[in-house]
Amino acid sequence: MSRNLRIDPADSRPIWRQIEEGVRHLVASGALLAGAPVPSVRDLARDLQINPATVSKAYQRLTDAGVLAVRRGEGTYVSDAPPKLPDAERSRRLLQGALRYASLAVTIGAGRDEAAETLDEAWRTLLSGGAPEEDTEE
Amino acid sequence: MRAFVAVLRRELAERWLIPVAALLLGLAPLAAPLLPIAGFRGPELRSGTALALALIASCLLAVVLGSSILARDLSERRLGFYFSRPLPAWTIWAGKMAAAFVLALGSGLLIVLPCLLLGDRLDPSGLFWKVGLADNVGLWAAGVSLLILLSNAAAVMFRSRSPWLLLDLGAAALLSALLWVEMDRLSVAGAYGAVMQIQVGLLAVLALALAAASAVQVLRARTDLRLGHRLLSLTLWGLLGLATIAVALYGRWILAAGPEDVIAFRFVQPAPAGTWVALAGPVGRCPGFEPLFLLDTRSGRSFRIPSSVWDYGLWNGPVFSRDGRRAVWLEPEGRRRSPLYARWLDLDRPGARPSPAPIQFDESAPRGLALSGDGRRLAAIQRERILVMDLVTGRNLAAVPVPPGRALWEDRLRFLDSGALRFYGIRAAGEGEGEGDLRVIDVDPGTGKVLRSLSTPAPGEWATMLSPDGNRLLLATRDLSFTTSHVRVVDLRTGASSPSIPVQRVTGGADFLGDDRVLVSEHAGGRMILRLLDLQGVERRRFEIPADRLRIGGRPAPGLLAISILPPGSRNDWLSRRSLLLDLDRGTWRPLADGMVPVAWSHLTPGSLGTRLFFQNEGGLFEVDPATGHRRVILQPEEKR
Amino acid sequence: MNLVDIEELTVRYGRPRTPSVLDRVSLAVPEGSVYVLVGRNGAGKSSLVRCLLGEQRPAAGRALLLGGDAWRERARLLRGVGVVPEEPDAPPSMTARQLARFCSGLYDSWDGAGLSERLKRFGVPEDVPFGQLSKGQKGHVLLSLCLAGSPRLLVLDDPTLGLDPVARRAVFDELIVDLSERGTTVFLTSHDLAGVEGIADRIGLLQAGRLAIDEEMETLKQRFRRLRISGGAGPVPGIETLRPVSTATRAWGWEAVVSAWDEDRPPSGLPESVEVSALTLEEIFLSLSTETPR
Repeated sequence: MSRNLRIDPADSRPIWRQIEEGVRHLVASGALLAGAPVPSVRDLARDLQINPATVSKAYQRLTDAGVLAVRRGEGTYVSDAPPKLPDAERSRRLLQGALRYASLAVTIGAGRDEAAETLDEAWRTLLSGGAPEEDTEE
Repeated sequence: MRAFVAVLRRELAERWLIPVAALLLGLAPLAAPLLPIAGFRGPELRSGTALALALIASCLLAVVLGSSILARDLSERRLGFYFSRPLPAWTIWAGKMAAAFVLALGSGLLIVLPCLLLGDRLDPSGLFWKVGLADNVGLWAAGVSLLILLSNAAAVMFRSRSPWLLLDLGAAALLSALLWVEMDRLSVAGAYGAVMQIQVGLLAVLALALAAASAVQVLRARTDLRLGHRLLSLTLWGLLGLATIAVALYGRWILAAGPEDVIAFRFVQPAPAGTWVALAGPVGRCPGFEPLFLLDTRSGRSFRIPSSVWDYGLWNGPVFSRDGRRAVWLEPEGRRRSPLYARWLDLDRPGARPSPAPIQFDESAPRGLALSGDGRRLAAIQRERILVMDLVTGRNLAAVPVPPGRALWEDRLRFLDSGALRFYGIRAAGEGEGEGDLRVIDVDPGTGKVLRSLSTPAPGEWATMLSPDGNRLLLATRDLSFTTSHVRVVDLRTGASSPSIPVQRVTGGADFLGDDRVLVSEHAGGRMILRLLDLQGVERRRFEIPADRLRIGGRPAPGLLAISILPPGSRNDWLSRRSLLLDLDRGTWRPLADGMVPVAWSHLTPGSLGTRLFFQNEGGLFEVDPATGHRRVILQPEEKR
Repeated sequence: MNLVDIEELTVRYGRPRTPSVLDRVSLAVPEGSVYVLVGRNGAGKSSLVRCLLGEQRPAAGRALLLGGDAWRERARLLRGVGVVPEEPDAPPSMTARQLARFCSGLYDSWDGAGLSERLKRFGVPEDVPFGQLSKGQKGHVLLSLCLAGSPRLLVLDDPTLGLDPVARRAVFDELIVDLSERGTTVFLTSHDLAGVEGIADRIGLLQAGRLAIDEEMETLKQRFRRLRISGGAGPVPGIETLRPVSTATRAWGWEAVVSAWDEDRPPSGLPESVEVSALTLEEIFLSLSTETPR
């Protein structure tokens, strides 16, 4: 897994967020299947040459979010079930993301159709396991 | 403690080669007896070689380890290995020093081990030096410790490469110079005991200061070599500076000793007239220091004459003029023994200080010092010549050769009331022992002209007492057991002699009252017999006094004689003495004072101050009124303990 | 609890008038965190570490180690501290095994097996004298030794200085293992900004004896940004509110590094053409040290 995760010191995001989002992406893209083991905190920290506490923080957040699950004594795995969120919460997050995307589209002068088309394209790219584009707009 | 042992063990383990090498080296002396060195037995040669090797090896190791075990780690930045671990700083210091000590001393002991196993006593007296291992192992250990500490301090100073090294060298030079000056001052004054004490004390202080400085360095500066050097230097020179101040104060305190500090009198010599005495004896504050003082018994004013009494193998006390108004003595300048300079003190001038006279004697010390009646001319015998010099100008007034022959009895000079200078002495014409002649020469001190010269046989005789006018001399025979068989009085102007007066069992001495009466004390088993004889040998008075010993004193009043006795059966010490006052005319006697001894011999003018002085050996000096027995304290003995 | 508390620490060499090597420096390392102190040579890092380990007495202020005064209680406190010095300082004649035997008696617990395993992992022979090991191996031995005592706090004084990338990586690997297994607290000084980027929780920058930065790694990286404008457009108006630490006119245009960037509230009025990018730790410190030439 660690080969698919990239930590970039020049990235403006904190490392734990880079890991968290990277894992989310790997799960969402199907690179990590449900029930698959993820590297231990220690191994991932060694591979990435980062503080285990940072990995631990990312894993903690992912576990809280239901992306990962800890089986006592065995290790950490990708959750069998997709993250369970209350419907309202799920709608809120989705809307939040959509608003951000829409506002970005408006700012750079993209039309509604172009935006919808791009969203669709991104969806397909994600599921086919391609790399997400660089987040430069944040 | 565990940490200390850990450091010690580690330092030792790192140098395991040293003891192994020592063990191997210890085998070498076993071959020594095979060497063709004549005159020594095998075991002696063997143990001597072993001891020499052991001493050399342990001293070398002390220097090498002392200069590297701590300083090298510091300069190569490896002391942090200890300091970054839970080891108390003192264990680091002590562990390293102890390791150096154990290795340096232990290697020496390992070298002599084979000899010990062979049963050698390791006491090769007369081979190289006189040391026994067993007696001196403590000294050896102390020496090794001092060497380790010294080389450690030196190594820290040199390795820190800081300008403080100059300060160190400066401080070392300055303190050495100061200490040398202080000790020189003391040894010039004859306080050799204090010099010895100071030297031993300084070595101990040096070792302690080095240890303290090194410990402070490690405890306070830890791994910082430059700061460590500063702290080491500050501590070391601070402590040694304090020691120097202490030495200076101690030296000053010792040299400030006055007559009141004398705890036992070696001698007390009153001036022929006046109120001054010269006295000498050990002072309690320093063993072996026996200063010589001039003391005014009236005012208590005193001067220390900065040369010891018996120095140079000669009597070195002051001489007084006959009027008691001037004293002259000789003293060297600094530590050198020659030349000797004459100095004088006007005793009757209040506030007078000793003044130098422009007179000096090179190399061979003068004998028979005499001062003229007016105190202006100094006479002495040097290089077989009688010299007369003007004390103020230093001008040589006369130089006359002494009579030929070998002196059997000390030559003496005396200024006569006429102004002439009289030489007298018993000298052997040839090689034969005891066959002496009494030789007299009178000299005009102004011109050097010989006024009179005579010689009369005096076989086996010694001069004991001169009459106050210098014209008659009491001669006594003495054999090797110090018993006298006869006495006689010779007129030095004519050589005429009184009949030889036979005496027996004389042990208390014979004396000459100067008025043609001779005193002889004889021992008669539990009694002393004091006989007063006239010049024909007729006994005029006889005192029989129960006593084991008797000492003839002065005449505190005409017709009265002070003596001291040791009551029969008493312990022979000064406190057991009793002073008696004899009435020479009536033949009676009465006790005068207990625990006291009269200062003077009988040649002093009757009634003069000197004849009334009595001393207690613990340092008390008293003037006793012969009529009332009332005593005036001049020096109080009780205050001296 | 803070395992390291540096309070107003001032260090001077020589007389009181000489300039301070450290001037009233304060910092704290909470238990379980990794503090990285960076700074150029002579900035005072070593002096700070020496004070922290009780090897040096501060001129003012104090250094607390595991809550105790480092100068006064050095030996007691060091039982819970593992130290890797800047220069390998073990006696050259001792082998790793002998060093281990010496150290094992000094600590309350001693993991001899772990030490052997670690040395094996590093590829360091146990019976070669320390002086004959390579620089990297020496560092590995010293790190292994101090980890064997299971310290609460690790103090590493530039442990990767002069090591090749492989040896350096091995040191950080071992450190990360220890961090993850025991949650050791670490105080580390380094030149190697890239190496510590992922490890530091908090970072301090010493500049000429003063602590110019003492901040959570995350917030530090969040507030530094590089702004670039190509072409002739000059300094951005109002950039002062972003507290620029360096500005420069380049051949291609103009650039600035600002230290008060707020991701959530980018300043209004930035020209369209401004290109905003995040910086690596190295770049941040580079920009800071060009601002204050030493």
